[in-house]
This record gives sequence, C-alpha cells and structure tokens, in this order.
Amino acid sequence: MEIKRVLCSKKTVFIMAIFLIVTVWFFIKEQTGDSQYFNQLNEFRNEEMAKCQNLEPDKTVEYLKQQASYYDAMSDLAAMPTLIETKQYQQYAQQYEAVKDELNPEDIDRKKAIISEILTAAEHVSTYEESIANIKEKAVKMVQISIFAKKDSFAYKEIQKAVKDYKPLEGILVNMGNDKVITSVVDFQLIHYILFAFAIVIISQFLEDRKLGLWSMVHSEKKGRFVLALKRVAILFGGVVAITVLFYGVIFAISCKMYGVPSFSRMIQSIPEFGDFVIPLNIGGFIVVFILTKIFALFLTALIIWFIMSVIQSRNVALLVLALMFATEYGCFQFIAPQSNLNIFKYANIFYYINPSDMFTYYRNLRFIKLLIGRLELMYVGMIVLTIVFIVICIATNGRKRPVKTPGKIEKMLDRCIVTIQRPFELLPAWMVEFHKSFIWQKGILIIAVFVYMAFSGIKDIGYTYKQSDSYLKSFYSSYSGVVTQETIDYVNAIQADCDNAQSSYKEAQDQYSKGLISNSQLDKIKNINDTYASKRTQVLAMNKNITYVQNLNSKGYDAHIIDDTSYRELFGKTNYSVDNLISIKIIFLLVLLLSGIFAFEKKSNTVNFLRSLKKGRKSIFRMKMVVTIVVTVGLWALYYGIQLYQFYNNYGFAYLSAPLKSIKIMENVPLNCSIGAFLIILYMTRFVMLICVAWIVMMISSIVSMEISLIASFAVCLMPSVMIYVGIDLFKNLSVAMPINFIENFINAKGYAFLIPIILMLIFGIASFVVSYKKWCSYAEIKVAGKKFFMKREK
Amino acid sequence: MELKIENVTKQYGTVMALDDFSVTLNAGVYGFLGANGAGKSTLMNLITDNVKRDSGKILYDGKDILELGSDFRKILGYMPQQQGFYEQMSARGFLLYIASLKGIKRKTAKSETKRLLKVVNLSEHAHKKLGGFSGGMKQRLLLAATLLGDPKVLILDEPTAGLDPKERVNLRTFISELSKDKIIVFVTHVVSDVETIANEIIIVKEGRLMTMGTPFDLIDEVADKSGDEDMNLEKVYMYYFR
Repeated sequence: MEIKRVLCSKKTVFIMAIFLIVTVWFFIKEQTGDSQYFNQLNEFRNEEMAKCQNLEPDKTVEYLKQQASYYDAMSDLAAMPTLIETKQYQQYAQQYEAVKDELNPEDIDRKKAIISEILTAAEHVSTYEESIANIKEKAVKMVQISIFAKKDSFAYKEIQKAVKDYKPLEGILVNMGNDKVITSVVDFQLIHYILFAFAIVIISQFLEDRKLGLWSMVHSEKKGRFVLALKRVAILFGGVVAITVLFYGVIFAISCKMYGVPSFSRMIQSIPEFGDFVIPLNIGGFIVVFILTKIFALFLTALIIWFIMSVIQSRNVALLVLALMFATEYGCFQFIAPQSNLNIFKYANIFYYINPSDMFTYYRNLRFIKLLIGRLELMYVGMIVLTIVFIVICIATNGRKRPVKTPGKIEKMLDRCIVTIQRPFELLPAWMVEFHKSFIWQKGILIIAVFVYMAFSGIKDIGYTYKQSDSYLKSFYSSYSGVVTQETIDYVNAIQADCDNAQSSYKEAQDQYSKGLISNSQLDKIKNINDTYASKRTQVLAMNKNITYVQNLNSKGYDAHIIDDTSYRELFGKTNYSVDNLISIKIIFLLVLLLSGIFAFEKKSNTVNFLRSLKKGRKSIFRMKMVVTIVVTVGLWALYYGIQLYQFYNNYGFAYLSAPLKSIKIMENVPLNCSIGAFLIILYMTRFVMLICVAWIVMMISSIVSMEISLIASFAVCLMPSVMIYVGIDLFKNLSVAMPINFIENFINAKGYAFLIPIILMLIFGIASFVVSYKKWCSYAEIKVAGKKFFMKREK
Repeated sequence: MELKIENVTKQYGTVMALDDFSVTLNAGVYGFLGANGAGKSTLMNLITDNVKRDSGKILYDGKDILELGSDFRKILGYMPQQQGFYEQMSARGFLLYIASLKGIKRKTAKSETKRLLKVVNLSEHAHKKLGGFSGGMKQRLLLAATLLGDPKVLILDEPTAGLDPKERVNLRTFISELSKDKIIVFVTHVVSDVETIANEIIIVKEGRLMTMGTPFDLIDEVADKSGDEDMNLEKVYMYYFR
C-alpha cells in the first residue's frame, strides 16, 4: 500500500509525466537548436565521419584540416565575393565557381563547427597513446626537479599517483566513432536537477502523514515505525532507480534516434571528453557505471534531505537548515579554487552528488589533511559509506521519532522571529493583501526571483550581434540616409567610378604584361592595388541595392528612405522569431504560475462564501484581483521586452525612428504605412494587450476550477501549444496564444490584413474570459450537495 | 427590523433542499434545528446570496435582498459552517482584513479588533499564525470576524462546533446579550445550544418548516400530542425526527 501511495498516486504519476515531457523537450531543443537544419547537418556529420573511417588517424587529421581551411575560405568568399581574385583564395576558384550561387554564410558556419568537432576528436585519437605515454616520461623528469623531489611532499605524491592512475590506460585501443550519442546524454545538465526534484517529491510523500495530521495514528500502529521506515528506504531506492533508468533510457533512445546507435565495444576514452577517465571501460560498461553512479548519488542526496526533514520536527526550521546547508555547499562548490588546499570541500560536495557528470571528465586529486585522494575514489568511497550511514540513521530517526514534541529553543526563537517579521503585514490594506496572497503565500516571489535571474542571465540568448558597417557604407548611411536625391546617386557613382578605374588599370596592366611591356612585379603591384578595392566594390553593390529598393517602392507610390536596416532586420526578421517565441513562452509560463491561484486560492482556503457575504466582498475584491493581474502582466512585459529593447539599444541605438516602415527591406509588402517608431509602439503595445488577454484567460480558469486543476489547465491551454510550436510541431499553431503575441511573422509574410485575425480572436477570447471571471465571482456561487457541484446564476 | 423568507424553494437535481419555506424573523434569537441535510445551510446560503433560489423571496424591511445588494451585506454578519482561513495570516491581521472588506475605517477597525479579540479570549494569540490555531480557537476567531461592524443580521451556522463546554456557555450568554437589537439566526443540530437562549425554535426537516414557536410552546404542544409529561426540547426534536 505504501509503495502505491508514494509512487503510484495520481500526483506522483502526473508530476513524473510532466518532468519527463519537460526533460525530453529540453533535450531535443538542446540538440536540435535551429531545428530546420538539424537533419541536414547530421547527414553532413555522418558523411564526414564515413570519409574519416577509411583513413589512418594522421591522414584523417590532415583531411579534416583541409576541410576546415576550405570552409574558412568559403565563409570569407560568401561575405566578400571579390576576394576570389586575390592570390590567397585562387586555389579555391574552381570549387567556388561550382557552389557560389548556393553559398550561405550561416550554413558554412554550421558546417565549420561540425568539422572542428570532428577534427578535435581525430586529433585526440591520433595523439592519445602518445599523451598517455608522456605522463610517465613527464613524471620522471619532474621528480628530478627539487621542488617535486621530496618524497613526503604532496607534489611528489600527486605525480606518482597520476602515473599509477593512468597506467591502466596504456595500450588501450582508441578510435573514431559516434561520439555525439554519448556526449549529448552526459552533457545534458538539466536532467540532474529534474531527477533531484522528483526525489524531493518522493520525500514529500513520506512526510504527507505529518502534514495531514495522521502521524500520531501511523506511529501508533504495529508496523508504523521501523518497518515503515525500512519500507520507505526501499521505496526511495526503488523510485530513484526507476526514474533514473526511465529518464536516461528515454533520452538515450532519442539520442540514438538522432545520431545513430554507438558501438558499445569502443573504449570510452576514444571520446575526447573522457580522455582523462582513468578506468578503462568500453562504452557499454561506461553507460552502466554512469547510470549506477547517478542512481547511488541521487539516492544518497535524497537520504540526506529526508533525514533533515525527519529529524527536525518544525518544518520551518528544517527548511532553514536545508537552505543553510545548500547555501554553504554552493559557496564551497562555486568559490573554492580547484587548486586550493581546501578543494576537498569543493569536490566532496552535495552539488557533485546531484550532478556527477564532471567526475567522468576531469582527473583531479584532492588533499585532505595528510592524505591524497582521487576525486573518483572519494566519490565512490564516500557514496558507499555515507549511503550506509544515512540508511541506518534514517531508519532510526523515522522509527523512533515521536509525533508530539515540545518546541525546542530554536523552534521557539524561529516562531518569535516569524511573528515579529509578520506584524507589519497585519496592517496591509485589503488591496495589498491580494498582492501578499500571490507573491508571498503562494510563493510567487520565489518564482519571480528565479525568472528575473533567468531573464538577466539569459541575456546572451536574446542578444544581438553588432555588425560594424564598412567605412564607405557607414559614411553613405550617415550622410545620405533619407530620400534618394541626385546627390546620393552622384556620390555612389563616384565610388563606383573609382572602383571601375582600379579594375581597368589592372586589366590594362595584364594586357601590358602579356605584351612584355611591364614586369611581373609591376603587375603584382597593380594587382595588389586592385585587390584592395574588393571591399569597396562590395559596399558600392550594397549602396546600389539600397537605392534601387527605395526607388522601386517610390515608383509604386510608397514612401521609403535609405537606411541601414541591419538592426531592424535582426529585431523583426526570421533570425529573431525563435527568440521572440522563447520570450513569450517564458512570460506565459510566469503568468500561469503567478495567476493560476488568483481565485482558486480562495476556494482552497474555503473563504469564498465568507468573503462574498461581506459588503466589499464581490466587486471590490474582483477589482483588487484585477489590479494584481495587471501589475504582474505589466511587470513581466516590461522586464522581458525591456531587456530585449535595452540590448537592441546598446548594440544599435534607435536610429531612423521617423523613417517609413517600408524602408526596412523585409517590410516591403506589409499593409501598414507608418514610421518605424510608430510601428515599435504598435508592436509592443499589441504584445502588452495580448498578454493581458492571456492573463484574463488564466484568471478565468482559476475562477472556475480548483487550485491544482487551475495550474494544469492553464498550462495545457496557454502554454502547451506555444511550446509545441517552439519545438517545431505546428499542429496547434492556430490555438497557440503565443501567435498573436508574436504576430511579426504573420505581419511580414501573410497577405493583407490576415495577421489581424489571431489578434482579434485573442482579444475576443480575453474579454470573454474577463466577463466570465467577473460573473463567476460577483454573480455566481458554488455549493456542494451530495458530492456534486452546481453553479447558479444570480437573479437580476 | 424584519427578515422575511417567503415561499422559498431550492432544488438540486432531484434533491429538494428547501420546499416552499416561509418564515418571518424579527429582533431576537432564532434557533434553527434539524438533522444533517435538512436544508438549514441551504437556507443560510440563500440569505447570504451565495446560492440562487428557484422561487420565492427574501425580504429585509420589505426590500428584496438581491435589490439591496451590498447594502444588505453591510448589515449582515455570516459565520459559515466550514472554517475558511488564510493559514499564513495572524489573528489580528485576519480581522483587520475582514474589517476593511466590511468597509470599516482603519482607526475603528483597530479598536474593534482589539475589543473582539478580548471578547473571544484570543488577545494573547493576536499575532500568531492561524495555521497554528486549534479548531476551537479558529471558531472563536470566526465569530469575532462575524461581529465586526456590529451587523444587524447575524447568521451563525453551527457556531459552537469545536468549542469546549465552558466556551459554549460563554458563547450562548454572549449571543443572548446581543439579541436585543439584532436578528440572530442560530443554526445547529445540538438542542442544548439554543434551548436556553432562543426566543423561537424553528424545526426544519427535509427542506420543510415542521414547526415554529417558543421552547415552552413547543414542549407543551408535543407533550399534548404524545402524552409525555416529562417533555423537554430534546424530546420535541426526537418527536419530529422519529
């Protein structure tokens, strides 16, 4: 029964399902990145790997270096085609001719990254045997230096230990193969924290009898003490095994599907990341060791937390102790340097048990008093010893601890502190109590703190790369932005003429050289001068394109100016769609977490009828809750889009605000004729209104159902379709609330005013949700009769 | 001051919660007696407009309470059967919050809160979190919240639940003192709660008004019918619920 209650309850199964979905989603997202090109790039990787398989290691490295140079050259030529005429690039002339029309700088960069990755692996494989042999040779040389020669010194001991530890790796066969399938799983960090969170869920189920007031009853039963404690240890272990195997099994299967099944007999040391893993294991053996390590590390961490939560009667004190413990551990984990004499506190740390991946990739020895211990040894020995110790003390604590206890000094002191801190909040006016309910009682402030941190720490994800315009272009934009005039055309023509002159001079020189009128060195000199015009020619091309674009629009009756639209193409263009999607998903996620309890909390607290019987218990309370909703929405909107605009401003500034919107090339076909500045205002205000509508939808769901269902239903309705689009599943595109928020894509690509349809629908849905919420609280009532709920409309 | 319930009916599916119920209440204590599911709480929810009636009227001083709206809620004090609190609030904080929702000015609210906490013997626990209160303490606090603003109509649904005998006696005495200028509806299924303080007893069974009268009148009536000379209110109750 206990196993059923803890591991098979609806709550546990539901949470596990959500965690699994989140894990899978983030894993796929981490692997695929820009999903459009993932399959293509995977194929490219497999092709290059196949070519390398047939070559000797040295030849493989040579081949890959050639490929790297090739892609570097193509990247340069894509940016500046005129470089093909220079000496340095002429070796690639034939290859460039074949591909020049299809060259895509972003595609080349992606391929370059893949080549670099394979090259690293090839270099690792080709030099591995030598590097292992070098450890011994290096050790012999080092002990001849006086500071390392003292036999009782740590330096000497470390050198000897390193030789001993690496000895098993001598002579092992390393070869190239499918590294990605293993590294993608081991490098996936989020899974550690999700599994940790699930272990906390199991522990919270153990403590539920205390929360429900059943502890006394359970404790007085025949099998309610040690037997129950032993069962719970087994359940915890079983639960940890099950979720670890399940979660890792699923992501490993996904990884195999993406990258192919690895060769399990290949040595793990073949993968560069695991070159310093001193236990010679094949990939199959490594996977087993990794999973077992993860299971026992997680089990130990869970036991420690369970012990603290059990031994300390007061929940507040227990949480305080846990917080202090984690803060101290984190401090040691983060701030102690790896080489410090105190590094044992860095590595013998709970955070390394939560996330043990690092153990397999870095070789390090630790000093503890007069002992020198390897990290791996410390981890495994520590794990075994501590696991046994904590199993025993958890059983002893849970078996012996009595439900009724007089509060101790710490608990009394904590209670007094809480009472003192709380006093000022007693005087809060009713409208501020609503904020208190959302941000303090429902832990909203923690959620906000986490997401503000994420918003600022994720700045690089939504940053813009500043592209310095070339000098002539820069001068062109600064002096000739605006309408196209004869002066503009004359300026460009002058630069073009200059370029043409250089080209003519070179052609003439070539002609003279062929007739023997000038020497080779003289020709080279003129050629070099001509080469320097390559950049200028590219810039003139860009200027002419700009002028042609503006003139075309003018001829169609539209107003357009010459502007440097790089910045706005980044902000409004394709490259930013996924960023905008991510921002809206984060905001919607926060809105759901913060507002799903806005009405449902009153139901959970059983205060609905009582509040509604008060003079200001209906419209006034509704107004107060509306204020909270709007403040939360404004705050989130300002935070995330504020950061986006701040970054944009930092990189580019807000230039050309008065220029017509169609001056931006991607806006050529949009139905709106306004300035860029006006469009920015329309864009962000529309986003704000759409977010208010989302907030009202969440509010409506909260007013209808209970707290837990409100959260789930709000996620399902508001977040899931948007998340699916972000991952690349467009099935629920038209049901996604993120679509009207990120209407830019539709605005640019859809015909006419079709982009308004989702916006209008969202507005209607939002207003309807507002009305339903209002009626639910101010006019509707709820009553339970014989287990059924009825909703009745107020009589007018 | 008159609260008139006229021919009120309420049905949930096939269950008739109230069947053509009529009663007129003036200043004084009215004890509503009935078994579980008799319709007492439904009636209270109708009076507090937490439930829509199928038919009939509820009038206060001749005006329908639905038309009066917040004006009626201004003079209403409702103590629900289920204890609903914000566990994270302190007792004083909760009373001040309710006072602000009753439209009571801040200065008056502070003094009222202090007075009522003393009345219900919770002054010592004023700043403690409600999560740590026992059932009886919560009940007393709920009573204090109901009495804020000196309401004219008090609906007390099972107010003695969770109270020890001494507290029950105190509560009865307190309510009796209040009843001079208030309509107090005291809903209970414990006879001893109302037999000494109620001006009239109303017995409700299966949504219908079975009988209504002063305790003495009811005792005499049933004694005559049953021929039991040792009649008391408990036996009157048993008579109607046999």
